[in-house]
Amino acid sequence: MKRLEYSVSELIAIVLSRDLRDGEIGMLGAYSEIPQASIRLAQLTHAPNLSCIYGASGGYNKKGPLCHYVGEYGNLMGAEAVFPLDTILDLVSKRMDFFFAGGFQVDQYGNLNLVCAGSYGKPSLRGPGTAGLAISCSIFKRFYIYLQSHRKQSLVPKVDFVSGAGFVHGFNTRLEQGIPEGGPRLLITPLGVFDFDPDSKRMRLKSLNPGTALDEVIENTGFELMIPDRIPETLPPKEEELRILREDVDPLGFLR
Amino acid sequence: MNRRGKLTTLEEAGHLIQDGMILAIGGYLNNNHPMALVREIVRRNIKHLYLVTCIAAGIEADLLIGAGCVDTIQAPFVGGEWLGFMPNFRKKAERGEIKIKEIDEHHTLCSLRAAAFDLPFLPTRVGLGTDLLQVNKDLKVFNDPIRGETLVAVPPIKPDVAILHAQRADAYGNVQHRGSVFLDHLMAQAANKVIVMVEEVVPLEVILADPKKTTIPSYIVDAVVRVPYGAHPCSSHGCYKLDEVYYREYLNAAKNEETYRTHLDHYIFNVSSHEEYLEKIGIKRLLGLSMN
Repeated sequence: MKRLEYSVSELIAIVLSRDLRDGEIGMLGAYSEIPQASIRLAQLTHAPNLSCIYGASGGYNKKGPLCHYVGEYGNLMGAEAVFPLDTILDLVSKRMDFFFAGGFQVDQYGNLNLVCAGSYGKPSLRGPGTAGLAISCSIFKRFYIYLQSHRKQSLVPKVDFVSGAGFVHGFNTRLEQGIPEGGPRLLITPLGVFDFDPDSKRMRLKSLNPGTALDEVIENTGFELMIPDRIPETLPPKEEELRILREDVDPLGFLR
Repeated sequence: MNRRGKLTTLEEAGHLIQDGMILAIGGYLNNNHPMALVREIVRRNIKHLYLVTCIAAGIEADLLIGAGCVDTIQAPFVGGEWLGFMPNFRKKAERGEIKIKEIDEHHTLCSLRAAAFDLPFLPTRVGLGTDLLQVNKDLKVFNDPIRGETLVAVPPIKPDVAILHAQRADAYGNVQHRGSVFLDHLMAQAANKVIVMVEEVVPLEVILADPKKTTIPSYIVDAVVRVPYGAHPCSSHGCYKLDEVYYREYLNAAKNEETYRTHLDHYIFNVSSHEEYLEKIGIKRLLGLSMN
């Protein structure tokens, strides 16, 4: 079989899309070309009854090619409905299935930070804010974290500011804080796919992306990962997945 | 007696905004911000504002912060999406030169709804397990008296003035958005005074022909200002796209105080009208952004 060429963004979109199930409802935030692509790809392959709300423009089940800016008018064209943002936050409160999150820091329990690095009063870096992570990480039944680089500086033992709660301090601490059941399901980076141990809720390696060595993951992660005895390779994109992604979902090539 | 029209000028509308006010600004991220009024506020050197933004703020907040108009901002997000960080917000936050009322999206919604309903607070689960509760003492954890759950109380924030940008309105203040309404309608419900900038003022008959499109009713609108291209450099939904060229120029200028000051002089202080501002951007670029 010939070896397919694909970008890291395309791989992440395809891996995410495979985990979305038919009949579910999800939501997207800003900076969301990759998740947008994963949802469209899932809808066009195994999940025709998957629905999605664009949290920024308010569009529902938008068709057509990816848009660069999530809040732009183009993201309403080809939508089945358009909602004001308060209606969307009300809909979120009904516990939708999934959301996609990022952050400049992610820790071993899947807590996320987009507010600040260093101390809150005197930050070395001020980020944009919680950006909806507080609501999304707590109310959705599950969320996916994706990072476009895998570095020690972003995968830290403990985030400097919890803007979105993952499994808090592990074990049952999420529920003990009054946060509804849920939490992060997967983390996907250019190096691999990670999930969380069902008991301790610590992050563990699930699969290595094609071409990645285990040492590379360990060296670039700022905490001790749980490593299984047998480590599979992330299933690479199939020819059909790449074709639909490029021809129907992302004809303008934002992910290439 | 005749029904009262509310058409006014940018300059007169600007006088409704005073030092120390709580100011809500409509739009979202890079879209539908009432930028011509924001520039008017900078030009008039209004100080000590408490800024209330949509769930994602962008250049409208950054410009006011950079020009020294803002003491406090409550915003779950200040950024430019793919355009990058908003430079003045970031710089002043890192230096401790601006107060940030740290909140999440649902807190924005609760605080505006509580103001619109005149309630002491609205409850939410959002914030539990995060550090928001450590740094924002206005968010108070309590036990709810009905089910005994741990919840967060969000107090109201009542804007003195809300400034919004939509695509059209009649002279009485019936407003119609062509694309997303974002949180404009809720800001209008919560605020004491509401100023709406529009691309186009239409006769009442146009509104009557399509009443389902009305997003804000006239009785809560105090002033309507016709400002074509008034959201520039942001997009105005369905009318024009965001101006990436201007954004890059702005982000570059904000790298140091001197170049930022030159930028403000060029586009705001040395400009006497919105038309003169548009002349500086140029017809070619404006037409290039047009979606009509």
